[in-house]
Amino acid sequence: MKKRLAEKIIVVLSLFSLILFFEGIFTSKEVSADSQACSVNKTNCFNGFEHTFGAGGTAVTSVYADISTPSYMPTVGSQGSSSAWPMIVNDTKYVQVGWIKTNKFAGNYGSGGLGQVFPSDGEHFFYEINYGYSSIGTSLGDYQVYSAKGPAAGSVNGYRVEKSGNYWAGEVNGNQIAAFPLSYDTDKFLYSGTAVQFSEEINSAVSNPQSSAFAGGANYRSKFSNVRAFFNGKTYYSPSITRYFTDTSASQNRSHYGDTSVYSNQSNSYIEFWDSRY
Amino acid sequence: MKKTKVISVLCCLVMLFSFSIFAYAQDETQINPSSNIKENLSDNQDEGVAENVETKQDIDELENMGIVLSKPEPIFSIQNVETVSEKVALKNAGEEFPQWEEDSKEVIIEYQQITNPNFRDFSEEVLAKNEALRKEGYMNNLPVYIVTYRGMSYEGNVPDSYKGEVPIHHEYNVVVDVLTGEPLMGFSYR
Repeated sequence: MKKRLAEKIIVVLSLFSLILFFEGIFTSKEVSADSQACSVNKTNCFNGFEHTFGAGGTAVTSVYADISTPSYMPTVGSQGSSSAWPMIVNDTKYVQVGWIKTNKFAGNYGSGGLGQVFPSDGEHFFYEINYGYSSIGTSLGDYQVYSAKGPAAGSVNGYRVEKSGNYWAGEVNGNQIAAFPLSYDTDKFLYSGTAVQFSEEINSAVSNPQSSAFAGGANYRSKFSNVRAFFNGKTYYSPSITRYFTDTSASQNRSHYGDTSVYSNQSNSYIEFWDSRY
Repeated sequence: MKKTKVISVLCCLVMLFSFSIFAYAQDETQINPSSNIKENLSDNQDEGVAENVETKQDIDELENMGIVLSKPEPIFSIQNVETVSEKVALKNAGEEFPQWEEDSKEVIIEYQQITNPNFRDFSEEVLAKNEALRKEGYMNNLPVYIVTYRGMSYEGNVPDSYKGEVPIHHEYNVVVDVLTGEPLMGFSYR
C-alpha cells in the first residue's frame, strides 16, 4: 500500500517537474543580444535596447528619456547621420523624438580623436513618424520635423513622445516639436505601440555607415537616464531590457540599469553608450 | 489512353504554374510600384498649387503636418519694418543646415505666410527678436521664406530590426523668419 502511494507521489512530482520545465522554456525572460556586422550603405547601425510590451489594452502611449550628449560630438560621413532617440514601435510603424547630426565637420578635431569633435556643431532636435507604408527609394508615409536648435555638447535634454488626443506629440524639454495624427489613412494607422526602443543610430544611403560615429567615446559616454514608458495605464520606470543591440562599433554599459527595487529611483538607473573606436 | 492522361496532367500543371506567375507579377506591381516613383515624384514637385497660394510644396502633405500656407502680403508692406532679403535667408538657412545645402542639387526659395500650431521649439534668441512669435508661441500667419533643398538621399531613422522599406528623403525645407532672418524649423516629407 505504502509502495503504491510512493509511486503515485513520484508520478505527480514528475508531471509537475515537466510542467515547470516547459513553462520555463516558453516563458523564458532571458535578455537576448543582437549584434550585426554593419558596414554596407543603406544599412542602419544601432547601439541601444528594446523593451517589448505587446499589444495589451491601450498598449504603449508614451515614452521618455533624458539623454546626455557627451563633451565631444560625433563626426558624420557622406549623406549620413548620427542620432540618439527614444521611440515607440509597432511593427513597421514608429514615432520618435531625439537629436540628430547630419553635417560633416570641417574644423579641428578635439582631443576625443578622429571621429569625435568639439565644440558641437550642427546638431538638431528632431521628430520622425512613419506610418508604415514606405516604398523603395521614397519617403512615402515618413515625416520629419527639425528644430533649428539642438543639444549643446555635455548637456542633458528630456525627450518625450506621447499620445495626446488623436495625435502623437513629440517634445524636447517640454517644448513641442511636432504632433501628427494617429491615423493617416483609415486602413493604414498607427494607433498605439507594442514596444519601445532607446538607441543611438548611424546611417547613410550612399556610403558606409561606419564613416559616421556613434555619439560618445570610452571616456566621454552618452547616457540615457530617467528612462520610462507608459503602457496600458501604468508607468514603467527603467523598463527591463528584452533585447539589446550592439552593431559594429557600438559599445554599451548596462551595469547601472535595472528594473528591480534597487533601481526604482530612476535617477540611479542609467545606461551608457559610446563608439568603441574612440 | 495513358499517354493522353499524362499530357492532360502536364497541361494542367503548366497552366497552374503560368497562373501563379501571373498572379505574383500582379501582386508585385501593387506592392512595389517603384517604376513609377520617379515619375510621380517629379509630377508632385511641380504641383501643389492651392487656392490663392502659389507654391511648389504639396499642400496635402503640409496639411498632414499641421502646416497651412496662405497668400502673404507683399513683402515691402509688412508692418513698415525692415525685412531680410532672399539672399540673407538663403545664407542663414545654409548655415543652420549646412549639409542639406551641400548635398542638394537644386535650391528654391518661396515667400509665404505660414501657420503651424504644432511646432513651438524656438530659441530664446528668436523669441527675443520676434514679438509676434513671442506672444503667440507659434507661427500664426507668420511671413516666412521657405528654402527648399532637393536632390539628396538621406535615410530615415528606423528602429532596430526594422522589417519595412527604409524611407529615403530627397527634399528638405527650412522655414526662415522674414523679419529677423532666423531659421525657425526644418521639415521633410518627400
